[in-house]
Amino acid sequence: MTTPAVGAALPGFLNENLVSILNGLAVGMLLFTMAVGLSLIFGLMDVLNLAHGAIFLLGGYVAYQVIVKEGQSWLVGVAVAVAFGAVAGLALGGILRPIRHRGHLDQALLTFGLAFVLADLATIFWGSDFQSIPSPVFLQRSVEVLGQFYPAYRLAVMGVGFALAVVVYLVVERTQVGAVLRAAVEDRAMVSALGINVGRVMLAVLALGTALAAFGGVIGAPILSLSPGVDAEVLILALIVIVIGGLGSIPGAFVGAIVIGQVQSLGIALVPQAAPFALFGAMVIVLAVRPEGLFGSR
Amino acid sequence: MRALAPGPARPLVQLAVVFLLVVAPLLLGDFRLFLLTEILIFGLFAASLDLLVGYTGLLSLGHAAYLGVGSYATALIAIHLTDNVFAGLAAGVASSCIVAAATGWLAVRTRGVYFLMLTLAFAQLLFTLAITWDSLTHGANGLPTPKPTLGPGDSGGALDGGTAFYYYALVAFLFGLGLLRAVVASPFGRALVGIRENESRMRSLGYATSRYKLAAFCLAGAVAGFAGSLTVQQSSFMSPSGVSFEVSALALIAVIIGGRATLVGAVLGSAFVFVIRDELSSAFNEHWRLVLGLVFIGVVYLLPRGISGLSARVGGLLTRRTERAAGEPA
Amino acid sequence: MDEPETTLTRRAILKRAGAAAALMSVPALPLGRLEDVAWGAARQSRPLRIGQLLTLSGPLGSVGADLQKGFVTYVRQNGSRLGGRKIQFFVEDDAGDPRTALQKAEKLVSEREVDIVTGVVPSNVAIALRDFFHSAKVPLIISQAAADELTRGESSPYIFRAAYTNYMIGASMGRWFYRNIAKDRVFTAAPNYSAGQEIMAGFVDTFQKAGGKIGGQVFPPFGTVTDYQPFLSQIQSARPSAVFAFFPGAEAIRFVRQYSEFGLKRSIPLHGAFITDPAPVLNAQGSAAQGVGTSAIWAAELKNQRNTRFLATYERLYGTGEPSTFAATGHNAAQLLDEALKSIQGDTSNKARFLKAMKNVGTFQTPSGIFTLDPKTQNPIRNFYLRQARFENGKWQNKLLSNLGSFRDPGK
Repeated sequence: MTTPAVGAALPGFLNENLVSILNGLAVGMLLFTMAVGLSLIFGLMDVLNLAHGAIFLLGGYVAYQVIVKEGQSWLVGVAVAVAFGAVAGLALGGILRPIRHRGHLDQALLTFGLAFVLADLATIFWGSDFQSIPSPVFLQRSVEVLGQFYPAYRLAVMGVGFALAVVVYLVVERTQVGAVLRAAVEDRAMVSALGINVGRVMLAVLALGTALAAFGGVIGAPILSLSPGVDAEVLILALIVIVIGGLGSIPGAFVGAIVIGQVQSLGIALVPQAAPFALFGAMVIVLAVRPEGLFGSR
Repeated sequence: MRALAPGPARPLVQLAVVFLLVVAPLLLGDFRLFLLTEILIFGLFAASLDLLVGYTGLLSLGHAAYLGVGSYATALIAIHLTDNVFAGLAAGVASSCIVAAATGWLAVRTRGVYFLMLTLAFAQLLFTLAITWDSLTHGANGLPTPKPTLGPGDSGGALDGGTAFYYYALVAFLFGLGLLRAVVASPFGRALVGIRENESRMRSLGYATSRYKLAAFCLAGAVAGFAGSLTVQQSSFMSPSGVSFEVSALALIAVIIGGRATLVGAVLGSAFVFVIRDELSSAFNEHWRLVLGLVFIGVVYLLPRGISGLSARVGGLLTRRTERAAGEPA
Repeated sequence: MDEPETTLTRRAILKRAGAAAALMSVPALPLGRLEDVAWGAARQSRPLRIGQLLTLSGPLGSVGADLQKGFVTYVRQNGSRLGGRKIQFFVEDDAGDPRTALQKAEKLVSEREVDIVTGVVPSNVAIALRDFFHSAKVPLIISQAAADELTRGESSPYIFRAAYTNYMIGASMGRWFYRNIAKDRVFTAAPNYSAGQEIMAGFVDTFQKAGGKIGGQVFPPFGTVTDYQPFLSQIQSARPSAVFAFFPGAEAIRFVRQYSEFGLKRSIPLHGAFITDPAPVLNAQGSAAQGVGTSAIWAAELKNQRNTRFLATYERLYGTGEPSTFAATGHNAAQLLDEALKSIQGDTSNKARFLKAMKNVGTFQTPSGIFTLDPKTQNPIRNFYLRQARFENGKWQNKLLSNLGSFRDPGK
């Protein structure tokens, strides 16, 4: 947004760090697909879904099965994985239902146990070796940006992430469905008094959130590769994103994702010595200044 | 908690358990005794986490940080200064208490998920520090440490061999657990439960809740550090994997499976986790996690008060039945 | 009471292992076959009890499994005996964790009463175990963990190595790199932990001795990097003539792929240690790994009689699929033990004599070429081979290019 002005003032800086900045955006957008669902689910249901990382990993594995093992196209892989993610979300809703009346702690704990179980089921089906999905053929090249090479696939991830952010934002802010959703976040009782089935809204958001996580698993697989442990790695990154941004806030998830993306790329490029501590250090600093995150209200 | 084993049975049960623990070396082989020692130490660590999770309602995902600080402090004292056990314990408790105070000061200002993430962040930062600060911690390779001794200097009786160390650990365990029980039974402990149930009400009643939470955090950290000292004294080794997320997660699982806000439950839960891991890992490799995960889910679903809650429920049923039986003629 | 109980437990374990094998999609270890090994024709009074302390779960799980497959292959080639003695295996998984490993070592020694232990995958596990084996006075043959210090300051008369030290891995590439790749402005890249630093120290040592000059070194943090781009940008802007890198497992996949994606591979040659090994890593890298040279102690194409037998037996036991270099070091460990036992007719009753036989086992031929146990360091003097990642016969493979020569650890 302010890039031209900054670019004019600091052409040398931009030139040197363009790849890092681009990459920060790409990584950030990948994180956003995870974080937005996590944040929405928390905002609406008060459930911290700690199985979100496992669904990311399983989504990646499902697409791996379809694309690499069955030899189907990328589109089919994405579709199957997203459908899987949505079904997983509905199933999660069913599993959480009997303990909805208990505190959010018990529900978070239940998803924590689920994460354990799902991760292990994944190793039973797909082993503990590394699996990877090659990026679509037309994206398997590097593009030259201002004299430096940048992988085309990551540009595509960035584009898809931005598009997703815009769509989610428009749906939540500008549509009827979004209005119901926002109202349900604010005051659940009022919305059900209006005759709207809040349970169904919650289920829909759960399914949407986990579908997005599975989608993230597919587009993340060519970058991160799939193996046990990736689930926890990505979950922690996404949690940091929504905590920095403020729980339940979509703009917060977006800004948090970009901040973490840039900390992980531009930050490390500028101050390599800080690399081991950058991620959690950034979070601690943000929470020290704003204990509810950047866009948090509660 | 009071209902753990109601009526006059409770002190009897306690006495029987302590008796069994005292005679355990006669009944168990070297390896089983080693395992039991580990369970006691980890159980104390889990009980310290219970003070936060169960009593104060603060879900920490990074409690291994304080265990780790205690372990490293004890290891470093043993290597560079003296291998006296008490010096090691003092160093472990003091350093973990200081680190808990420094990090807790920030953490208790936040709530819920923010608190959970901050504690996770502190633990991960310490983990990274342990890997990168090679000159102090010997990096990922870890620090082998000398066996602890009871007497002054290197001359005193070495706490070598399973049985001697077991009794040492048992005394330390009973001391630590007794301390925690005294704390939760005190007005301070009841204030913590009040904060868990309704923090704003406690505040309006005039309690400085942040200060209470910080004190609980430091105390839990110090006891975790105490357990950390014992851990390193048992295994004579410390490496960053002792501060890893897995350690924090296993302790949390132990607390939940055993039953929150009972202290004893955390110990029972630790025993359960260790036995599952040891018995199943030879046969199922890493799939013991699957079993543990399923048990964990089952407990969250069916036994919100954990294994110890189950025994209380059974106990409650029994007493109710006898009461009813006694009441019927009248 | 002791004997029948252990047998029962072991049977129970075998039974449960069968159940576990059915659960797992990963090809399970043929534990059923260990049964034959254990119950082979009786000659010596008591079978030799061998503890195998391996990482069988977690990210390093396949390494432990391969070590064991290699070990079992040798035993089977050798008529299910070592040094003429029947053997009995006790396998424990340490999950790559030092504390678990200590617990399992205690179990093997005090409960299973093993005569010797082999295995050990991660270096921190090996270092944690060092004092235990030293004071328990039980011989340990390390078949993988490569921490330098166990051959240097922390050596023990009870600890032997069948693989190599980290120093040797790096050192094997220095002279070759100087002669064939670049002479100055060379960059190194490795994760910032002990193995990364030790391998790079070995490389820098022999590279500089050959006359080379290092341009710079990057050490990204270990285990927490999801993306290497900032480090790659740092390398790129320094414009080095070539890069020597070491990364393990998932980190290797990401580093090598991103090295290619960000265009470094077009102008800056990449070679190193382990970055395209083992097969699943190379498969995940695909064309990004094309042409990358790495050093290893074994290659499938080595032309010698022992290698032919090793490959044939391995295939018979485990089906198709080439053994990994870890299977080769597992095989080395079994052979090292066998050669030492043969020199004392399999009699381990006198421990001092047994240790002396191990120490002075000398030189013998293995599938990976000539192998000498240096009696000073109890660590091998052995050949390293240059392999190059290539696409051949429809799959990605590390193909043998040349013999890098014989290397040893200086022991200091």
